[in-house]
Amino acid sequence: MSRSLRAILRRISSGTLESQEHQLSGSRENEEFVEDDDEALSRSDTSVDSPAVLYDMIHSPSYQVPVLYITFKDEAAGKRMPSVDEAYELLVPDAYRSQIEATGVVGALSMTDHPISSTPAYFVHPCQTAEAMEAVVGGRKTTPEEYLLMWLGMIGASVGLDVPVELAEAMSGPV
Amino acid sequence: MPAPSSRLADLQRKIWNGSIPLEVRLAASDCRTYDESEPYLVQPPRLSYLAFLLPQLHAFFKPSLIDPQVQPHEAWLSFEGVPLKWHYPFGLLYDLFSGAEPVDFDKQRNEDPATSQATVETASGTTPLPWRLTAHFTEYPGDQLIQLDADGRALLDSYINAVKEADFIRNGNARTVMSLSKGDSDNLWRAVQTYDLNLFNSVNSKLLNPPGMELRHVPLKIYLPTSASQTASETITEEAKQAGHIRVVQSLVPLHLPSRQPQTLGTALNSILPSIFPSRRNPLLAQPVLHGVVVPLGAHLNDLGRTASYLDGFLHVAVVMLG
Repeated sequence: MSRSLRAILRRISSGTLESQEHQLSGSRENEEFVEDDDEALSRSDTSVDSPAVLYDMIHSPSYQVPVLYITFKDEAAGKRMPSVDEAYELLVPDAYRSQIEATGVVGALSMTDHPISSTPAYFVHPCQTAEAMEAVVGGRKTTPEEYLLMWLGMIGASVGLDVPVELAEAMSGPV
Repeated sequence: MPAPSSRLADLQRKIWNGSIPLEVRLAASDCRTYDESEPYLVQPPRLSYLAFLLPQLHAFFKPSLIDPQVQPHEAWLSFEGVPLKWHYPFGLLYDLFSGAEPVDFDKQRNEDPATSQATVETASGTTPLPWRLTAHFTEYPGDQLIQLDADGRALLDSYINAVKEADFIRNGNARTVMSLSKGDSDNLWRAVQTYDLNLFNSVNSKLLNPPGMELRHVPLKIYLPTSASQTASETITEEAKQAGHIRVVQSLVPLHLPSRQPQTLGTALNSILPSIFPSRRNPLLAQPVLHGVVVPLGAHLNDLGRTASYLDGFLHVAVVMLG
């Protein structure tokens, strides 16, 4: 995988799609934490009235792969976050879920502190990601965008995140 | 030169025995007698987790609760209005929030012995011991604290995830921790719950010494309170403006430098946060604090990892700005 990874942060709300590009960079051996624009992304200006699910892709310095974080925003629910089972129910249809669990390549949904906001968020555990991606990539050279598309297809699908055709085309086009 | 193993074992035991006196008061809004309930006094170990206190706190405060039906796992603790995160070890919370001056042995060595007793003081000279916290039983801040459950499952999951991550960081894979027997992993959690050093070491030594593998990196997390993170970044985030927001920095830290010299705390901090630690040897702008003590920048990360790590395998280092 090349040295620079372009992460696309997306907010999916009830109809509008905003995407912002942020650059995360780091070498593989001596990981240097680089201040990036992610911190400029302010959660408090979400002008979303209806419940929303926020997906973030954040590079993990520990696991050295992208990790998918999921935050639920629902003013009506007050401050209560859904439980793991409730989260699965909201994100993934039951039939699909048993299929996903059977493959064993996608980690379970767990709760942690969001690395940027430090507030509770779900994340798809990345312990299997590196191996699974190796199997999919199969030693080919990929651009960061191709890698992310494959990653989204595998990890994202397990939690109801589909890549819209327009976005896939935009990512594969000339940079 | 690496320290002899008996000294390291001594140091680990001293750290294991560290504790901090707490005085917990019931939030007036949850209390039938408003602010006149007795405080609960306890002295938990620094390495442990506050959530383990919940059953005793609940039992102690129950007679005073406006709503006596509330469950222990619905309670939460705060310090000066800041909710305290359950998965942060207790000693780390103290280092980050209490305002206590960390003990600086280097500074003490250079001072007149008559004035250099190891007293605990805040920057303003008041003593922050016992540490005064507030227990709440309503209005759980689920947007800031992970929700607990009656079985302690959330706490266990968060602990296990941290142990797995530490193992992955050390070896580049999580095979060692995943291959622990059920007995071993049960013992590890039980050692955490009962605070049993021998039981803990019996399992943890397997994680620190995986057969046939050389450890590659040191599990390290660096905590920057708002003033420190503002030095490092140009943008002041919405979150940082909230009191008590801590920025957590992580980076893969190899045990050795490219020159094959051992990695020290100073070389690591200088490489990860050069604007806060411009020198690898001298703390010019900030000091790293572990277990209430300023750690010399020359400390070898390998030794630190083996003696001063918390129960989840991480070195949780608080950064305290100077001046």
